[in-house]
Amino acid sequence: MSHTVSTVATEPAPQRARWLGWLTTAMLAVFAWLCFGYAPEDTIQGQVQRLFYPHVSSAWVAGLAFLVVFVSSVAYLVTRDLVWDARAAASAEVGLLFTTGTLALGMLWGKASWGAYWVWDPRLTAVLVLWLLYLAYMALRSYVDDPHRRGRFSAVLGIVAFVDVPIIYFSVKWWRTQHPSYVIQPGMVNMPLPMLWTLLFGVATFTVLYIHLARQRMALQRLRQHLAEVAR
Amino acid sequence: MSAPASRLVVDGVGKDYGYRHVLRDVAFTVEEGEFVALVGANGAGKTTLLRLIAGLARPTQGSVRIADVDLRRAGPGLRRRIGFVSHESLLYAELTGMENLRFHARLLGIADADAVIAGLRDALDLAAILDRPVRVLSRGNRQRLALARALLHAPRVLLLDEPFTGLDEATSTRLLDTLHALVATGRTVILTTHDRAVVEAGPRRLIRLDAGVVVEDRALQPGTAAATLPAPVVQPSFRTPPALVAAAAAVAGKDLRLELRSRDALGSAGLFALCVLVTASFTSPANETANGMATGVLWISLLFATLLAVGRSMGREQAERGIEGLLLAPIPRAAIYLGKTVASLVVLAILAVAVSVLFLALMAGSATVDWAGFAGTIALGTLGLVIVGSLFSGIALGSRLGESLLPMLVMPVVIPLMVGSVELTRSALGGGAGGVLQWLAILGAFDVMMLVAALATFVHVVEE
Repeated sequence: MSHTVSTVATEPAPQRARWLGWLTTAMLAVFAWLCFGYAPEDTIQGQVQRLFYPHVSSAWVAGLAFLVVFVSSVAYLVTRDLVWDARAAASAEVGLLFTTGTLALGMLWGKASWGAYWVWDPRLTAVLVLWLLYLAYMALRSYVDDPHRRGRFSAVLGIVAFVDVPIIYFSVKWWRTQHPSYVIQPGMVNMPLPMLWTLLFGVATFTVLYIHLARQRMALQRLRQHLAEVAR
Repeated sequence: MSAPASRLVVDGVGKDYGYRHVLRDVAFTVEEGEFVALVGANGAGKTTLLRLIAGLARPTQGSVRIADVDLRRAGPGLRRRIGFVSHESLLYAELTGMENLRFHARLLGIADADAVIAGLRDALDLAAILDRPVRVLSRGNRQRLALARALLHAPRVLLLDEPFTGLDEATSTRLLDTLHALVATGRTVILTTHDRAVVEAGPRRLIRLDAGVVVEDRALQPGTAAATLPAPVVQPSFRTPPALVAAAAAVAGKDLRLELRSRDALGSAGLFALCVLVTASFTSPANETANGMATGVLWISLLFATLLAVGRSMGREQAERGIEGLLLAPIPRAAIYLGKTVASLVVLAILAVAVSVLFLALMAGSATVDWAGFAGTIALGTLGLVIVGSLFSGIALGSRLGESLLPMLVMPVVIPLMVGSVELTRSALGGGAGGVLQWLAILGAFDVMMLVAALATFVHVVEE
């Protein structure tokens, strides 16, 4: 399989990027209203429960980003097209951001619910591992200069790190946990409808935000590659 | 009509390193039995082109074909048609010349290795150096040994990257005669050189590269040198090249022999683990294994011992580019990973036994030991550490940070393994909160999933 010539990411068309930016902003505003104005106060946990919506949405995007890193890594190794490497890198950066958000919101929620910012709950620990993996991924990229070698190495790490995802999922069952159990399981929704709508809208909003940020990151990558080619 | 058995076609080849175009649209055909000099200034792309033809790197554009088969899709049979002499010897410094040649003969699937090596010994005058470790040989003697390695399988295409560098006049003349003799037997020889005298004395064709582009391709007048030596090749009897397990066994055997000679990994990793345990035993109250601190220290020492051992193992491959010798061999790439992992596992097993005995003596106090559980945990945990460490050691050594990057890559990945190992060790020592089967499932799943991922991806770590 030869390396392909298309060594740069596709720059989002400015018009589309602007449209996506406005859509993201609007959805974030609606999501904020849903969180603080529409969803009812939790009778047990009180106001702090509202952290649940961005926390779960953020965790969802972190997982999605990790999946995209994995798929893009496999695609890069198969095609050796740097566009896939750029997609993996962009997704990892944004995924790291959302994993950090998940941890921060989880710690705030933990302080209110459990009386401590951090407890060694397995699922929290697993998210922390995911965060460390993203950090290792970004560190590796910064220590390899040649783009194709960087692509190969980080793709291998991206694939191996993804192996940890099932451990995160199954850790809830395998490990003793203080973490709240799943509120949505097949065939069972364990929350009032307004809360459910808020959560689902939050997940959609953060997904759009992830797409917008990843596309911007890809555009930045393209500019860097142009710069490097011009400076050559 | 099918192409001649070793016609080489370089078809529109380009190669980028980073944002630098090293080769651009290089195209030429070399027929069987041609003797070609590849010339050009430093950085013109000669070595890169030779490495592409040897199959050690992939072109960014275009293709390299031998007998109409694209090298990227080449099976073991095609790899056996190519011999490559690099700047480095691709030999292992701690092994003797004979051990190196026997190892490569095994990977090449040569049935009558001793007869072939004897033939090369006589033809290349290797008798005085075959039984000496490569590390004590001069540059010229290493070069002759490297040539013998490249000729073991009597390849149809011989590639030599500046083979005359560092050779005295007598050895250079002998090498040139040898190349003439090879060409006389219908073999294709392509060499890179800066030496005008070499160009005038041997090759029949000159290809000049300038900034990655072919700027001259012309026939040369017959040289002054003539084939005065018999061709230094004994047509070997081939058997099927070793499959995954046999090739892995060969690689593991070589690694263990190297470790036995140098004791690098055992020495450094063993000393490290000993120091950690002794130091930690001063800070840990007696009979406190149940709180996990002592078992944590045990696993931290095993983790870093593993990192030192696998880092050393891959470091040896990088020293004289021995890894490229493995990549040139007609064996499954996964066998390289498997062999190195098995060898590291043997080394770590020895270390783990020593470390465990020390741990039980210094830190376990009067705990009742479930020996089967303890041994099983050590085995499963160490296996996981070696599987991940072996994969990432190649990556770390290919980075700007070198071996220092290895802990940063490995530690986040093995956290679930470490937690599971600590918990199972606590259970085996009468502590822990139970759930042995769940922890075993985590360790088992981790080992299996990582092994599968490593076997699938290792080729991308070592292949350009």
